[in-house]
Amino acid sequence: MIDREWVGQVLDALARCATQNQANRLYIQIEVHASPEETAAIVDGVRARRMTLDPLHQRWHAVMEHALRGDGRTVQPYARRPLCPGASMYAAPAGEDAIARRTLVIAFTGNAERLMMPLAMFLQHCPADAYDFLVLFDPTRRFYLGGVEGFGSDLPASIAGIRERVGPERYRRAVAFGTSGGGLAAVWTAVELGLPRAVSVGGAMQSTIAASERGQALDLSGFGDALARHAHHLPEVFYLAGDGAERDLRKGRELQAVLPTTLLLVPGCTHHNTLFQVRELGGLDRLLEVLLGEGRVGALGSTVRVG
Amino acid sequence: MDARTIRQAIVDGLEAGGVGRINEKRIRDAFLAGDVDLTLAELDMDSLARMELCIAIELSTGISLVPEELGRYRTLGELAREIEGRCR
Repeated sequence: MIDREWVGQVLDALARCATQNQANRLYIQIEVHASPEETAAIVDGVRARRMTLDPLHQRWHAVMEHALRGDGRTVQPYARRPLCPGASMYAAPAGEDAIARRTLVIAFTGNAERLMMPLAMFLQHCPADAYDFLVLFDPTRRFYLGGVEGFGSDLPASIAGIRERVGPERYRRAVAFGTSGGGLAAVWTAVELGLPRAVSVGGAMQSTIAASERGQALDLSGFGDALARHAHHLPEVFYLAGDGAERDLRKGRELQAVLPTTLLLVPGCTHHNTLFQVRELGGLDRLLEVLLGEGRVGALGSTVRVG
Repeated sequence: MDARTIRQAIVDGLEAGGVGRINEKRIRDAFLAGDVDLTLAELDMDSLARMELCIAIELSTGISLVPEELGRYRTLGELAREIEGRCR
């Protein structure tokens, strides 16, 4: 299911872009919001309209075309459904029976409103018949501690909003996943909702938040309270970082000091965007299957090792 | 346009691109005040961050700079001075 009106508006706007930066701004919005099918429709629409692109954007179209349809892949039929300004559902249309067999992924994007790559690219690595994604955004870049707009004015209220409006209990399983600025919110959400698993990819921790400009006035005491309240039923927690990414490794160890956490390391990775590197190495399908599904960490092979 | 406004546009762009280092209050304040310079290499910028930086500069100053051109500048200070010069 595609929002064809939105796709048409995007194509019209692309045609009006006068500078490369204007076009880049639009492509970033596509990367943040478009489902795989919508992205494919934009790629096809540019081709059908015979629009002239500069080399950078020609390359973008080629990369996305390959991510969506290359090597015999099919475009995953996630339909985008905005729920409120700070959250959208991405789910293949299905009845309650099918939903009850799926896993809900509550996904907290980072400060750039992404899961470390274009959303459509990320979703292509997750079969739409197995997962529904609740994708959350915090444009204020306050680590979700000021809430998810439309769900609540702080994180605990937003978690309650997720429980009420999305209903994780309708699913066979629900997990929380967060990248970068969304990492701590994912762990907190899993603790509060009693989810079996939380995954933080290079996620922010208390020290990062306290040292940040936007974190100065934010209250993190609720996280400690949630850990204390749920001490006997904590989620299985994974923290993914590059084995040479010192800042992320420090945050991973900080999380380990707070609750039992398995540190997963990407060998040879010195930068923050570990997921993209794993994808480049061809290991993202398996990594997400293990982290979001019920696979065992031992099945990860050589792309990722336990730290 | 003054140097502080240009530096603020650079900070906004880096923040939009998810560059964690610039979120650190100590570093951010010092850069905005012109007391500290940062190399582009130490910022761990991916292609998105480079795009966001150029977009923020264009929106705030009207100066069009594309991501490929950022390679000419070793530090953010050099970049800020170049923009300031072009704004005159």
